[in-house]
Amino acid sequence: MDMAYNNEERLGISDFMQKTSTYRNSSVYGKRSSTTIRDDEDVFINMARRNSLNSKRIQATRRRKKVDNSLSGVLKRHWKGLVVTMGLGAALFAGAQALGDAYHEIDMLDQNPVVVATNQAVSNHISRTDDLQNWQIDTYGVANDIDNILENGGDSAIVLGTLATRLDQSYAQDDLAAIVEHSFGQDPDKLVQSLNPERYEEGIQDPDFKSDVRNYIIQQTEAEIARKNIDTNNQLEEMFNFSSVNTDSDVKGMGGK
Amino acid sequence: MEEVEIYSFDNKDYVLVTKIDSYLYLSNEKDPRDMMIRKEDINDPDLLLPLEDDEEFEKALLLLTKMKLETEES
Repeated sequence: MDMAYNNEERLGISDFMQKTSTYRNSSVYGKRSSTTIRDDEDVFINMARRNSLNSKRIQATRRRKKVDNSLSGVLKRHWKGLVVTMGLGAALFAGAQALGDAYHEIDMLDQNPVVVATNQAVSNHISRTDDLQNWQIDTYGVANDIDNILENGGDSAIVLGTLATRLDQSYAQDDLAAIVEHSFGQDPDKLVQSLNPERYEEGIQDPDFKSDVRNYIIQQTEAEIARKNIDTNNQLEEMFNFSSVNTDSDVKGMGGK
Repeated sequence: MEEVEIYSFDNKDYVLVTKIDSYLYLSNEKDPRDMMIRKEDINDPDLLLPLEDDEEFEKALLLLTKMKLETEES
């Protein structure tokens, strides 16, 4: 009938509502049928939705006013009721984890220096064609930058996975092959297949390969951040110990007076 | 007593229950079931804009739920 009903069905809220139906049998709702309450909730939600989506632009006047604390509580409870009735609390719990994971993944990828350098190597050598209709890539320039990254200890799996993700369009596969052959000395598909022939059947664009590299990057970045945190903690600890020593000597000095 | 911000229009007074980003969560002072979410115009805070669609309505409610959960957790 409406979105609220669908949400409840989808999220299993109707079961929850049935299990908590006792509150509907309280003195307030005791004489009313559940259908009536259901209808009331629909009216309640639809009214808020209609008021919010009403295309009218409202010119309001603002002022501050003192109201009884209980009024404020009543209004907040109605908002809470609206959210609960729509099942959004449950939706948020389900969605927040996925959303948080996605943000974390992007964050970790953005923080990995090899990913950043590899993407930069590609960006540095992409330009518009003379007629401005298409993009062109200087594969030799990219490959030279990639060589530098690898020579400076850049993880080859991360470089390869990042290139595969960055140059995943079908029309970019020849450029990708030229870069990989220059820097790794092998055809990209054969190179990736050689890592795990059964799992990476499709070669460098195999979704499993890109997914594995992505997870590997996240782990590496998390480990690096953890290492930095340990270093920072150690430094803080040293500082604390140093100041403790100073404090001790101060105390001793004072005591020695 | 608690001081609140009131938005008056259509001969009604709406209490600003909370504000998240540009979203204003308003309730009729005389009828708590008369509620609405509106967006504040960047150039004119007295101008209350409607939400675009159901998706934005849900998004605004999600923001409210999230804030509520965070407040309760802390």
